[in-house]
Amino acid sequence: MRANASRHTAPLLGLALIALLAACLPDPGFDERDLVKTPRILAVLADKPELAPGESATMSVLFADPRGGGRPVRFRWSACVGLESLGGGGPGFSGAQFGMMEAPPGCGDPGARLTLGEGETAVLAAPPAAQIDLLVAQFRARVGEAIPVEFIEKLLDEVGIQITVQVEALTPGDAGDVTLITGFKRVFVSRRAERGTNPPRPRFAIGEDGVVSAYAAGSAGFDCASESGAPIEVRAGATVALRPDPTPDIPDDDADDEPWAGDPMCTDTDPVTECYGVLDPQGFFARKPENAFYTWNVTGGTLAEGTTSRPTRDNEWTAPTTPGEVTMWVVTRDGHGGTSACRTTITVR
Amino acid sequence: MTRFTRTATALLVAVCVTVALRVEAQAPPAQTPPAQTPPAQAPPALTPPRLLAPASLALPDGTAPLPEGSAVGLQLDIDREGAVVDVVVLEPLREDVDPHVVEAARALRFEPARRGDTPIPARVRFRFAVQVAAPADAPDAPPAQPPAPASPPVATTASPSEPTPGATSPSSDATASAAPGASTPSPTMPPAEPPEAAGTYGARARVVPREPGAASRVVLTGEELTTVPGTLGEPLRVVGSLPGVGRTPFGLGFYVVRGASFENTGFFVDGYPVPLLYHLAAGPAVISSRLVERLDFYPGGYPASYGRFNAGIIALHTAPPARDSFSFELELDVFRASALAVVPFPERRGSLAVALRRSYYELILPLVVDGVSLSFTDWQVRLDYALSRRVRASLFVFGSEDALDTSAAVGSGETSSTATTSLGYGFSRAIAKLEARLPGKVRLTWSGTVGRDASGTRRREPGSPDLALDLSAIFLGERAEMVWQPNERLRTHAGLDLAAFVIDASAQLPLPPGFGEIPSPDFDPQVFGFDASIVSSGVGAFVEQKVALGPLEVTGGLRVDHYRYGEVSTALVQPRLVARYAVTPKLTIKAASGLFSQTPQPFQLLPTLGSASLAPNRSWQSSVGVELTLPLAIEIESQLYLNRMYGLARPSTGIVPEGEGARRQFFFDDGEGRAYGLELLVRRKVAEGLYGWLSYTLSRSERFVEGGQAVLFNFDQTHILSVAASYKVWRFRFGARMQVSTGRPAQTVTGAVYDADSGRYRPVLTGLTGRLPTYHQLDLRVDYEFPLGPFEASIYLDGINVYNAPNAEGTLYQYDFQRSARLPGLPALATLGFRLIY
Repeated sequence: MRANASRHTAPLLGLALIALLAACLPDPGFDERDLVKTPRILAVLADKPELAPGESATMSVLFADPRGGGRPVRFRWSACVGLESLGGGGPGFSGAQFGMMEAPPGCGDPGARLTLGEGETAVLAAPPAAQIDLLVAQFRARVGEAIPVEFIEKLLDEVGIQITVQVEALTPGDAGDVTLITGFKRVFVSRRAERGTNPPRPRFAIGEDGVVSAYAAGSAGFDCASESGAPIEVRAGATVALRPDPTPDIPDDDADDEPWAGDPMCTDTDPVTECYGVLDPQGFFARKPENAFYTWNVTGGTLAEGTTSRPTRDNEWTAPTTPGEVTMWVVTRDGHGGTSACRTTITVR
Repeated sequence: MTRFTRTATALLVAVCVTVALRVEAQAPPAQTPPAQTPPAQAPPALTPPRLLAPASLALPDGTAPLPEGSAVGLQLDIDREGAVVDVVVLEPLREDVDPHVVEAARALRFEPARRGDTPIPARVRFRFAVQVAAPADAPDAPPAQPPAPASPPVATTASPSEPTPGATSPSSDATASAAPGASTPSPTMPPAEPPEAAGTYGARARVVPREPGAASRVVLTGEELTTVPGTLGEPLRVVGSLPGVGRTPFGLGFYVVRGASFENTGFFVDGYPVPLLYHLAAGPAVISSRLVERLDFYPGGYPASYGRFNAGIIALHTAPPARDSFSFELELDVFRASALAVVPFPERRGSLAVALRRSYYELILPLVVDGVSLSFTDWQVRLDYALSRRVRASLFVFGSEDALDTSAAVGSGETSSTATTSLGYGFSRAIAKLEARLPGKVRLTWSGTVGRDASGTRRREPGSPDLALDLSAIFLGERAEMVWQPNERLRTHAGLDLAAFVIDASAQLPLPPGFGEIPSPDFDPQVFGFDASIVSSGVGAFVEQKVALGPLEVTGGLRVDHYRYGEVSTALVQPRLVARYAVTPKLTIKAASGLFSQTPQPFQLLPTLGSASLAPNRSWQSSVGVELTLPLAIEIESQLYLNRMYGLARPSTGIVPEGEGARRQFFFDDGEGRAYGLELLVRRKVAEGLYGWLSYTLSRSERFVEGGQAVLFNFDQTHILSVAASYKVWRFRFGARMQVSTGRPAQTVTGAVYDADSGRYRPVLTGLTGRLPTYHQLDLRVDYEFPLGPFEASIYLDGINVYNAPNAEGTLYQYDFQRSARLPGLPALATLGFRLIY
């Protein structure tokens, strides 16, 4: 082979030049992602992010419309479990339904979608075992049965398949419904003995005195209340720390919520998170720990970070200079489909 | 969404003050015997004109050979400023050569004759030696050294490819030819006594013969390499203006040639490939332009003596600077310092040249941007020696180092930290060569090379694992070839080509996502470390046979490459055929076809991230075209081409069976593509101070996706037009270059969908159905040369994108893809240079 050892130089040098130019480029004036100014979906939740075959989950959506104005918004749910992405190219398969999500699925062919109904919540029923077996058989027929069935069975046992759940936010328009925004979420279906759960609902401190918690009295749905009962107030223009509590005390009567329930044999992270199965790049089955990601959004002021995670989970928020009320959302994700969310109102004085 | 932290002006002006001081440690001037003058009244000393710079001679391709010793006898009138104002042919050589020699002579520059300290016009006899070598010379052959003169004082100054023999002063009889007392240069001044035969000046030029095994080749030499506008005098950037070459973003020094990927076009220096030609961030070439004699560009269909690249070849040929005595040159400007020293050997047997260049961007960049540090160094050492009249040896050792470091604040307040990224790249080569001209018109060449590449990338951010990738490679190469051309009708070129390398990779990289993982809300990699080695070897053999029967010339070639790497051991037979038919002496039609191959890129073979079983990719290239020579030194070349690509490595997320289970496979070697188009080059070579060209390419490049559908290649550009011209009048040279090209394909975004698991938006794409806006750019250059006391001075102003066209190199999107903005290209940029030569 010719002395052409390092011809990855083109992308490397391109990245180098872009890094050099990035410091000099003019600001295009884009909106900040963590500032909510338009109707947005901030989270889609499944009360069980991982199901056994035939099991059901309740889906819900956290929707923000800062412009409000009484505009009616309704939600339409659909789901799909298809084979569109299987068998792509060569003797292998792209395996989107076996754990690898690529471009927005949108369920591909609309004919492959399963309608779940309309409303702020919907019920998703995972395929029963027989249907999953049928999917496996179809897949193996497609790839010429080159991959042993035992391997696929283990894939189902350790990793699972994904169902894509799509939600559309609709509002009436002059010529019919207008789609404000579309979101999707993955729900796993596996035969694992210990399936994944959602992380604890958020509890975080705002500044030195205020603590907001989804478990505080007065909290309901996505709305989180102040633990002290007093409204959260921040001086205009002040910068306050936001400190999430990764292991909040969960009241006994919140039986639906569980702590991280992690496996210390799998990971020693703080908190001890759950682990889940993956087929690693070299073809081995492995277990990977979840994490705790906190995504912050506000309707006013400035956030230092959009998403924080271990080890520095804390964030900072600078209140707007004009008094008023600001809505803040925080969404906790575990990196494996588990989600919890919280919304609170802050008074800027 | 990309957040920008600062704003810069749209116009970036770099003022570059170049001061070059070249000290000629001349041998003492020849001591002429003192004139026998009456002691009471000694006339002022007469100093004859002295040739300052080597001559450049352009002869059309296909000029019949001229043996060594051929020359045109001229009479030159030189004004008091050293410019040639009239040329008369006294001893013609050949009618197809004489006019070109006259034009070349008009471009000669002299230090004027002087009577005492006063410059005066002069008329001298001038012997312009011309050698047109038979096409037996291989492309990378160094130029022939002139034999040591049997008797002085043939004051010849060779072309840049040859050392300058010692310039000697003419005899006192020659100085008597100066017109006495003339104060104004005039072509009608009385003829002086013709100098004696020994008192003549001369120049020698070497014409590059056409290569029979090449379907198309563009050769650039001399002023075409250093004065084209918009290239900042960097020879290799001229390639970007030639047919078949697509424009690359931000002027990066990699080329899309005939619709192929960057890595499919090879860069060669003196016959061996190098990894890159430019320093980082649009920096200069890695080899000093003072050592560049010639650039050969093959857009496709290159000769069988080259191999292992799927598209084109850019071959750089170096030569020692022409010096007749020790010389030292120092150049300083705002960004870098460079030095060049040349030591010629006695009896003009060779020379030793040493060059060094070092940037000091790190002193300038902090004034413009924070958190960026950039530096480069390059060096060259070249030794040439003629062991005998027929055997010569050379050793060329060179290297380059680049470093880029950036730092950026992450977060703010209590959560703030600093993330740093560093990139380092360096390589070095040593090329030894031995050439022998044997009786029977046989030429043998042996060369060997040893080299080292090293690159490293690092990213550090508090709270996140360090990421790093280090690659180092050692390689060896050897070539042995023979060229035999008994007459004009036959030519045989054969050889062997060996190469081996070992790449060591050490990495701390994010583990690619596995099945069962979904996109994370934040960069949360699981970092894995690995060390790997790739050992590869290749043996190549080639033979090329040219047969000419009247106007028809056919060159058949065969190259066999045996590749051995990873799990692959395979041999590829690559036939090639080039046919030319001279309809008239000025009109030729040609056709070519051949198979070419290339190994996958090393990173695609790494054990953990790649696939060690990827087969070499191949391309079948075909072309038909015409070549037309017009008066006024104008040449036209046009051709249609078709490239069909096979075995391209394509990324994959698939898994494949292995044993009782399966494994991930990141690349498959079943990708295919095609590229086709029309190329047109209208060119006027340097003559009467004017050169220029018009280059136009109409092209389409596609890749086939699953199902056989063809989609546009990411760098497809339908129309590529480049017009360049440069004209010298008196002391000024004015140049301009206009480039217009179709924008690259761009994704059409029709909306976005919110991914609730990652918290980010995914664009809804309809494929590469759009294009960036048409790219257009005007570059201008002005050079002015003038005497400044004992110095030769020159000033140049080179402007890129002079009307600050707002070209786009890409598209930036808001986080939800509801808004977009163009990623701007390079703004207007100007460089001012000043040079002094002593």
